[in-house]
This record gives sequence, structure tokens and C-alpha cells, in this order.
Amino acid sequence: MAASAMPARRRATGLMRSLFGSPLNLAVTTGFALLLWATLPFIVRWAILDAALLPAVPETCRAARGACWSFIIAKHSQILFGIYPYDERWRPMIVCLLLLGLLIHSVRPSAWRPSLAVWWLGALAASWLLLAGGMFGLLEVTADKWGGLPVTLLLTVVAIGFGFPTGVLLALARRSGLPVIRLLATLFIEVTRALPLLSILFIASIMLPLLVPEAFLPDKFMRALIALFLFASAYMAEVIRGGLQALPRGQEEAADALGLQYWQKQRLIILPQAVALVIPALTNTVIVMIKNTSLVLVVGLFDLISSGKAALADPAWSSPSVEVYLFITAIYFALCFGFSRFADSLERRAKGPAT
Amino acid sequence: MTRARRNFLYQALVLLLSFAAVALVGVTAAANLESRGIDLSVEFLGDRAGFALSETWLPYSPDDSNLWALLVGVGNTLMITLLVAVLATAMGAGLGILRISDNPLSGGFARAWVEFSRNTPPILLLLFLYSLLGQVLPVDRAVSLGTGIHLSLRGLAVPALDLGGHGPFLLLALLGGFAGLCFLGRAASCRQRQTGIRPPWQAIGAGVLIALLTGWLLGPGPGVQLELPVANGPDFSGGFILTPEFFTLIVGLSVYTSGFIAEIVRTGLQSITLGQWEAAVAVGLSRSQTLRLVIIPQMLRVIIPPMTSQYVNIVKNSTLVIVIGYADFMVTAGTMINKTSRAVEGTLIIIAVYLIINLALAAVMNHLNRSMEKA
Amino acid sequence: MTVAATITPVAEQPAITMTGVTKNYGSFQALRGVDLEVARGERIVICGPSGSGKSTLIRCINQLEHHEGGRIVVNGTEVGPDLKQIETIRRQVGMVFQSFNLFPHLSILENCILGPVWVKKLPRAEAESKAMALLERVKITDQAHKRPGQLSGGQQQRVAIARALCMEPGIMLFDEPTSALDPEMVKEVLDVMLELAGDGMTMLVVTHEMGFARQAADRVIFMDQGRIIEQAPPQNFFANPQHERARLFLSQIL
Repeated sequence: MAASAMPARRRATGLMRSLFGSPLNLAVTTGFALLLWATLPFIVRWAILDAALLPAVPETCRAARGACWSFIIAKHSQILFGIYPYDERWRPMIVCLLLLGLLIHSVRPSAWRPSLAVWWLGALAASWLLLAGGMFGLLEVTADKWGGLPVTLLLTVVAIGFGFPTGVLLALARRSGLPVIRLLATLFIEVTRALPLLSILFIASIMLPLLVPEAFLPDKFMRALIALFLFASAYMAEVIRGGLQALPRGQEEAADALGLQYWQKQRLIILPQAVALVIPALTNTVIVMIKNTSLVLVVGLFDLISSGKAALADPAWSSPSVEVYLFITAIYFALCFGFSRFADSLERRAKGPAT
Repeated sequence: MTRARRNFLYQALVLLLSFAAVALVGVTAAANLESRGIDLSVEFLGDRAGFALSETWLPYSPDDSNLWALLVGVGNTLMITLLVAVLATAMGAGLGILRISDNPLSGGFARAWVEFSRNTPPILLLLFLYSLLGQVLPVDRAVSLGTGIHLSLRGLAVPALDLGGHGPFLLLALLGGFAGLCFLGRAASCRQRQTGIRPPWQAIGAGVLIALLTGWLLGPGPGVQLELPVANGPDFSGGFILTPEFFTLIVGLSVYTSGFIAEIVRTGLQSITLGQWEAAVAVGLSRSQTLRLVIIPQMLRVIIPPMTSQYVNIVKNSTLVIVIGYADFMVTAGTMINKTSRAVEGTLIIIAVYLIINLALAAVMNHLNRSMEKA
Repeated sequence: MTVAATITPVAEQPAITMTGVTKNYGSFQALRGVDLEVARGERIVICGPSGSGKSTLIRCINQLEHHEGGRIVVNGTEVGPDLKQIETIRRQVGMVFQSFNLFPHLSILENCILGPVWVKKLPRAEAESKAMALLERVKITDQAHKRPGQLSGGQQQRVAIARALCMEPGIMLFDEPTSALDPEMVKEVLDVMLELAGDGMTMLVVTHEMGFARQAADRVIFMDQGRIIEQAPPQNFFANPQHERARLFLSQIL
């Protein structure tokens, strides 16, 4: 508020002072200027001036000395959606929007009603339906053809969707007065958090065939999902436990004094407040999970990155891996950064009028 | 029903369910293992490994035992963790300070770096760097980055120290010297508490140590040789070579982790209120004394817990190296499991190793934390 | 005739009976054998230095703290580890806390109807009308749809009293209800409590507000180091304290 009230001229002088005011600032500014002068021309030449754009064929790239954006233009569909049939691309696109919308919608406390669970299940069912097809006149597409961004989002949403309620139960269990329950919960949480996600994926992949009878053995996708779900529940448990600890004891006492039972107390009083306290950390966990799903490329699932790698394997092109990875980085950045900014603004708006 | 009885019933139920689950899993596992002719034992650890590891700093050959292979893998992971931790902490501290500077260029740069780390999957960064190296570096020759430092597709070559067999002796001498300096510092503090004046024993000791070292280096006798690498096309002879995989991993993970450490350092710096500085100045402490006695201890107390989790994250992220082809502990264990089909034992070993590393890190940090509390 | 004489009419059963109640926190003895009998409709003020066990005492009545030794009987039901008993007691005993403890994520009205709807299983409409009547009694109906954070301390405490009253308890416990309030808001809360006392509610009030004690209390109890040192009607207690420690305490606060 104060900044916009300041006249523009004063803001400009403030900027000048922070750039050149003291000897230190002057040195820093000069240093950065030199850095930009050394690298910017090269980057501009590579990325824009000498870059290959259209037509999106391999010859354009071979002819140009700069970045091969033609590859991105030609192959963006394969990178984003894997080997999904080209004409049916609208289906994974809708799925992406649907799942993103679901995540954004769920971060706001005003959305926390029992009906939210219905929304989640509905969205997941709709996503599955849209991707798999086979009914309502949709062409059937088998799971081995799914890939790219929808898979990333699907894994994230399922892991979080089941991980959150499990995390709540684990957090409550860890704070329980019953030693056995508390011990088991603590053990699970601490061990899961100590292990790298990759090792959990790996263990799920090799151990499940041994531990589960042949008939119930989940496929590759399921196994990765189970690993991600276990991982998410342990992390969310700790975040929620932080919220439970931050809540003043008086809230629980007041609920007890009114005569509420344990689960009534948790559902009506404790959990709504505890979870609201840790929304920033929960948003962070969502972002961490979106990033973590990238690991499934190691166990052979086709998420965004492995779709990119698969696209690079096309022998007709010159394998412009830098361009592809930049493209994928941009997508992840847009996704994660956008999500956290959106959640931030929602929280600020929610807090606003109450004061 | 009393509270005590209900609690007992709940716990008994949970225990019963847990045992049932474990029993079910155990029976199925036993049946599966038996049908495939696998039995559980640890003897396989002594067997010949029979697989190669791409690079190790501990000596290893496929003739060594499985146990040694695993230990070498752990060694690789620890080496990566140590190097990345040091680099990332240094970079992150610098970035954290930049972040709160009022110069918009440096502040913006630091902010961009932090957001980049936050919103990019580390595996992507590693893949990107690795492919960048592959695309940018020429195929047929090496790029020289200075005297004795060459970069090519084979790796980064730096001058190697040839200690002529005096390595262990030198190491011992340095350790001893360092210990001696610490002891002198303690003694000087003790004397300062008594008389109020700090005797310059530490400075004198340091001077003596440096003089001895320089004399030994420059004087007659074997001393120390610097071996400069020579480039033949993309290959090197001589010098110390860091493979592209190793290089990518260290640089990539350091860049990634430093973003998070920058935020931690920034929080730590901002947690020290201006009032602390003013109070210290009012008492009459000099700037460096204030830093040493007031600011840094408080800052460290705030910083140590989140730093611990970042170091743990480094250990966990080190497993990502699998996509580049470096042999950390996870890869080693995985290869061993594939070769010996010892899935159950192998899994238990993996869990145990990471748990131990985690606990050890936590213990070290807790100790640091407690010594901060006392100070 | 004789049979009827041996049955104590319910109205004359004491509201609360405590015999030899002890409570320890580790090695610290908070209560060292407390005997107390509170008649129905009696208004009691408990005072004493901090750490004397006053709060612990009333918190044992609704089992927010579990007493270790002795017996507590509330409205004929013994208070103990039995869960059913605790449930019954908490419906009959209302509590007002020093830090109000209103639920910040619910509106004032929702705060008040929470107990009746979820514990007493009342239909929502009925609970709402009863709650509005009580909010009117504490003179705060126009704030019914606001959140606690939007109210002043005095207003919040009045709502807390209304919330406790919505459960239609026979006994009200007050744990230093005005200690966290700014001085100008103490009076509005005390007025509500005085009115409540005038209507014949059984009240146990832990407080330092001796004005309230003088006006409304039937008995003042002085505690120190986990024991009841002295109890007397207010005019006797303030005019002529019997024990040394009571005299010292009064001289410090009056």
C-alpha cells in the first residue's frame, strides 16, 4: 500500500540508490552487468535468433545453428501426452485440467466439507473413464499407452487423495495416549521419512511380488502408486502433527468440557483448525509430490520426463535433449509455481475480511 | 467400561491386527520363496560379487565379496553427500545473504535461484546438466579452463597431488596439528577467563605449523609434486579425473540444494532482531565479537534443525544418480539383489543402511544443537 | 412415615461431594486431601495463592484432570475412570475458562449449538432457538453470526458463559473467568455471573474478584498448598480471617 502511494519519482530514486548507492551495491551491480553482457548475447542468439522454428521438420533443425524448437513444436503432443492416440488428445487434456482444478479447489478451508471426498472420487473416476475409454462411445485406450502430464497428475492426485486421510490418522495415532498405537505410528512415519523415495519404489517393486499371492499382485502402475501413497501419508502425517501441536490445549479442553466424544472432537474442533494452520506446508507437500512423481521414470512408468526421453529416441531427429528438458522444466515450473502462488493468494483473500 | 479397559482393548486389537498382517505376509513370503527355491541367509555376503561398478573411490574389483561391494556403495553415497553438503552450504549461505540485500539485481538473482530449486524436480536438473555437458562439449578434444584444468567428454581433469607415499604421514601430522590448535584455543580461553586477557597461543601455534609445512614443501627432500594432466584429444593422462557423471551429480545436487539452504539461512538471519545488534553495541562489543558471541550462536540455533533435514535430503537425492549411471549405494544394492536374487535380505540391508545414515546425521546435529544451547 | 424419612429428597442431595481428594503431578502434590460439600444452589468462591490447587480442584470435578485418591460424587454419580460416568457428568457440569476457549472457526451461534446438537442430539432448529435465548440473556444477540476473533475479550467470555449454559447444566464451574480481561471488561462479565447467581445456579468460581465474592457468594474457600485452609461466609471471611496464611493473602490482594 505504501509503495503505490509513493510518487513514481521517489520510487525511481530508491531503485537507483539500491543499485548504485553504496560501493558494495555498485560492485554487485557492475558484476551482474558484466555477467549479463557476457552471457546474454550468446543465449539470445542460441534461443531466438539462430533457432529453428517452422516448418517443424528435421531439416529445419539441421540447417539452423541455434535451438531446435521445431522438435518441440512437432513433438509436444508426444511429450505431454505420451503415445496416446493423436485424435483423442482432448481426453488427457481435460483430465489434466480436471485434476489441477481439483488440487487448487481443495487447498481452501472453505471447501473442507464431507462433500469434498465425493468430489475427489468423482474426479478420479472421471479421469480414469476419460483416459481408458471403452464406454460412452469413447475409443478404448489401454493403460500402456497413457503417458506424460496426465500420468504425473494422476499419480499426484491419487497419492495425495489417499495419503491425506491416512496422514491424519497417523498423526492422531502418533499423538495418542495409547503406547502401542503411538509406537507403531511413530515407527512407520520415521522409517518412511528416513528412506529415499527411490528405495521405497524399488522395495515396492521387488518385494510385493514376494509378499503378495500371485492373484493379488498389483501391476507396475499400482506398485508405484502404493509407494507414492505410503510416502505421501508419512510426510503429511508430520505436517498435520505440527498443526495439532500448534493448536492451544484449551480448544481440546473446551470440547471435552462440553461432553464431545473423541472422534466428534477431532472432526468438529481439532482437525479443522489444525489443518487450517498448516495450509502453507500442505501446499508445499503437494508441490513436493508433483516433483516426486518424476521418479517413476526409474521404475519404467511413463510420466512427463520419460515421455520426453521417449520422444528424443526418434531417429529422424538430432536428439535435442537440452531443448526438451528446458521445455519440461518450464512445464513443471509453471505447474508448481502457479499452484503455490494461487494457494497463497487464496489464503490471503480468506484471511482478509475476517480482521 | 473404564477408560483403562477401553484403552487396553484398543491396543490389544491393534496388536492382534498387526500380528495377523505380519503373519499373513510372512506365510505368503515363505511360500513364495520356497516355491522358487530361495532360502534366507547372510552367507551370500561373503560370495564373490561378480559385477562391476562404474567408479569408486575405495578400491574395488568384481572379485571382491558382496559385502565389500555394498560397503563401497555406501562409501560412494557418503562421499557424494559430503561434497554436496559442503558445496551447497557454502553456496547457500552466500545466496541467503544475497537474498536479503537491497540491491534488486542480486536479490532478484537469489530469489530466482531459490524458486528454481523449489519448482524443479532434481532428477530433471541432473538429466538436463548431463545432456548439456554432452551437447556443449566437443567430441574430439578437451577444453582448457586454466593451467592444469581440462574439461572434456571424459570428465574434468584437475592437478593431482603426488605425495610420494607420505600421504598418511602428512594426514596424521595435519590432524595432530589441528588437534593441537584446538587444545591451545581451549587453554587460551581458560586463561582468559582467569585473567581477562587472551594469550596469543593459538596464533603462535598456527604460525609454527604453517612455517613447518612450508619448509617441508619447499625445502630439500621429496616434498610434494603437482601432477598436471595432459590432454590427448578427449582423453587425459595424469592428473585427477572426475567423471562427467560424478561432476554432474555434484554440481547439479549442489545447485539444487543450495536454493533450499539459502532460504534457511535467510530465515536465520532475519530471525535475529535489530535489537540484538543494538544491545551488543550498547554493551561495547566490537562488530566481530558481536557476530561471534551473540548473532551467530542464536542464528545457528534457529538454523540447525532445518539444515539437518536438508542434509538428509541430500542423502536421499543422491539416489537419483541412477538415471545418469553412477554407482551409489542404491544402485550397488540393486545390482547385487539382481545378481544374487536375495530380495528380502537385500531390502532389509537397504532399509538398515539408510536408517543408520539418517540416525547418525540426526545424532550429530542433535549434539551440535545441544552444544549451542549450552553456549 | 419412617421409610419416607430415610429417603433423602433429590433436592436436598448435595450437588458435589469431595472426600479426601488427592492429585499429584509427578512429585508435586497439587491436592493433598480435600474435603468439600457443595449444596444445590450454593455459590462458592475459591481463592488462594497461585499453585494452591484451586484450578486443579474444579478441573477434577469434570475430569479434565484425573484425581488419584479420594472420592468425588456429582449429582449422585461417582466421578471416576468409567467413561459412561464421565459423559454423564460433563453434560451436567458447565465450565468457563480463563482464556475463553471459543472455537475460532465457528460463528458465535455455531459455538453455542455445538454441544446440544452433537452431545444431546437436539434438532438444530431447537438448539438454535435455545441458544439465541441464552445469547439474549448475556446481551450479545447482534453478534450471533460473527466469529469469536471479531469480538472483544469481555464479549467472548460472555459468549463462553452462554455456550456452557446451552447444555443446561445444573452446576457451573468458573476457572478465573476475568483474569485474562482488560479491567474495563471485567464488570460486564461479572454482571452476567451475578445474574446467574441470582437465578439459583450452583456455582464454583475460582477468582480474585473479591467484590463478586462479597456480593454473590454463600461461602468463600481459601486454599493453600493443596489444602482447604479456611471456609466461611464472605462477611466473616473478609472481616475476620482465622488463619495466618488467609490473613496474609487478604492483606496482599485487598
